[in-house]
Amino acid sequence: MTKLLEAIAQAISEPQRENTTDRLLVDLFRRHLSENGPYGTYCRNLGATAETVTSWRQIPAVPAAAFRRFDLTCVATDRCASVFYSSGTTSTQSSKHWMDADALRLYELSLKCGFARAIGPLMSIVALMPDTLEAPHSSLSHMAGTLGVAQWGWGDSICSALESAQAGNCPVIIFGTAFAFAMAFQTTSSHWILPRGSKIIETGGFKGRVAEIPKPELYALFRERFGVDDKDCYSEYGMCELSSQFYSNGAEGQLVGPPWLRHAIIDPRTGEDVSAGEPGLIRLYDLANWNSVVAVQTQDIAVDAGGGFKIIGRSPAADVRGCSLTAEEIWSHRNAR
Amino acid sequence: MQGSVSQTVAELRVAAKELRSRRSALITDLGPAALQSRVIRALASAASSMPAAVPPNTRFRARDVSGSLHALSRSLNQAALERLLDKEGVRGRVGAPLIGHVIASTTPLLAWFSAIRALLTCSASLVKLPSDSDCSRWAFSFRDLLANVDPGLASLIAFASWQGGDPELDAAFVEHADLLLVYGADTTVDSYRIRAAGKTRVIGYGHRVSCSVVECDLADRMSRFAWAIARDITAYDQLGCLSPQCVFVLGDDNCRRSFVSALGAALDRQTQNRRVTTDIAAQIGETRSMMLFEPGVRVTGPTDMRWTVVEHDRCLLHLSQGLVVVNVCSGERGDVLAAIRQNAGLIQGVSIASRLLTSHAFFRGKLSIMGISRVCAAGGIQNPGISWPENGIPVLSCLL
Repeated sequence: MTKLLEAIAQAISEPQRENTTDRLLVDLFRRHLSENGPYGTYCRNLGATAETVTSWRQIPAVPAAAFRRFDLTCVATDRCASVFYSSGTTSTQSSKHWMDADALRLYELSLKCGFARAIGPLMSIVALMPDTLEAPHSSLSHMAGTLGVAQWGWGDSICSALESAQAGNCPVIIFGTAFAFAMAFQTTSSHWILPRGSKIIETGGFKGRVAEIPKPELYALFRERFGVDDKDCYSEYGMCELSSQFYSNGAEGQLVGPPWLRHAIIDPRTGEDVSAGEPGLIRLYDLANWNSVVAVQTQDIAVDAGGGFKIIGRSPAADVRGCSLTAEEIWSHRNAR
Repeated sequence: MQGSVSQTVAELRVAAKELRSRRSALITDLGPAALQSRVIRALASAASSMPAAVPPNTRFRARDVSGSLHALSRSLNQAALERLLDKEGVRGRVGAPLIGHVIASTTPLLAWFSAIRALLTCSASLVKLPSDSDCSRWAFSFRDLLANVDPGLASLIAFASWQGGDPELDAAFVEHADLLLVYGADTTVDSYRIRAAGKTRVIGYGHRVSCSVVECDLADRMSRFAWAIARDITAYDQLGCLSPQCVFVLGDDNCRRSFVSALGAALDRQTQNRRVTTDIAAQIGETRSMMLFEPGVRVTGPTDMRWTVVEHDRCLLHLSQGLVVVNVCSGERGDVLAAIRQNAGLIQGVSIASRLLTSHAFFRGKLSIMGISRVCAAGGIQNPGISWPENGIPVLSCLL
């Protein structure tokens, strides 16, 4: 393990010990600059060098779309242990996030530490998504698998797991895409009163592909159908191009990331930060992105909410994509059989 | 006075029936030659009253629209029409009774051009408007202008509108038309071909791009060339098939650099009033970034994204997605022709900036052989005349 990798792993597992994230982000950028071919070209064309970039806010961000067109990796793809694809419509190319063994270990460390900080101790997880065998390149399935899933499922196949939890008074976490929850509510009319301490984590939104349920309504359904209060419901914001995640709590909560995941909200007409309270495009800086790039420019529109942010939409020019579509595509495919 | 717009299957049926009946009556009364003469007179009159018909809050510059419309009007006189009729062998013949037009939202005059061609073959037109309301307003303004000068001709044009992908309405539209002219993305054209297979003939005007060639010259002439090419680029937000997306500079790297500097200055002046929305800025920002992954690329342009010039080392046909993002590369004549030849099937037009008439003639000859339908002097690429065979398709004979 290199010293840098070791230092990053320590910053993630013990962020309270010393605030080294700012410096490590720049050090990691320098690694990417010299070892990630396409990113090196991009930075050279921008005039960004190891000398000119001295703070994490100066690190050149690549558009998320670049993960679709280029292999943004520091090692040859045939030496990578995993590749995660974004979902996306069949007409668009998927993003590819290549990870070597070190990157994969850091990703798993980051997602576990981030989950523990935001959600709390692990408990039995029911995952409303395809399992890692069915979707080996889904970062969401990999995330759930790494956290440890007791039951993978769809629609009414989760009923037995929820009934067991209810009968045995064992709290569970139900983790799934908003689309998968909507499908589950459609296919079963059952109601549960899940044991106290149970939690719901929804992710991925609807991505404009199905009739959208507004978040407050979705959370009301969580309360009505699972017996889980707003305070125990969470939204996760992540993407295949990142190795860390943001979480919000409650229907009105703001998305907050761990200390090793930074964000900025950018006005695309100036390239600078928006004024306080103004909407802009969210730009992310992830210290756990060991093998790709630190800074990713998304097309998601967000407003700052004092330490965190709220996603309010997506630039209309952006492709419809996201974790929800994996669930939706598989669902459509199964129904078509 | 915008008239009605068919939005249901029943309304489409009624509109189609009425159009057929009006067309029969007009042909019986006049005959093709007299009807064509009326089209010429009406267009000239409509073009001269165009300023009064500019829709409110349009994003298109009146100057661009006016230039295109006057060029069309100037090109359509009795003598020119006679030449076109003879060239295409359609004298005295009439076209499909009812033509369905599927209009793209990239330029404001598409509905005008398409419907005028139909009128010249004595065909009625049922025009499916784009979802973009700005383009629809321009289509309405055309019919209103025409109705003011020749209500009979205007009565041969009707509009239809619905959000794409309504199977019932799409099927009814295909069924009622004798011929479909489909403008837009290749996927749109393909979808109509599939829908109309075995029922209605489809002529597709799919995706095409354009480019410019500029000959290296003295600094003051380079500025004039840059100004003319900037006119070609900025018209219609560079979204039309005749909008140059790549400029080839004949000469070395120094020539390219001096042209890039002149082009930047011209674009800056010509886009002073262009206001880029946040969404479009996000799209352009992404385009700029994606370009920077290619080795040896330099991107220049203001942070407000009004214009972008992307300078490349390699002499290739580099494409953008419009929105006043233009690529510039340089090479010798052979390199430039090779780059164009490699993509000739995709290229709609080439505008040329050179002080030498021999250079114009040279490129006109070479590019015509490649099948490129529009080769013209820089500054006028967006103003084709009536005889321009868009996408290499004959103007009138294809409507028979």
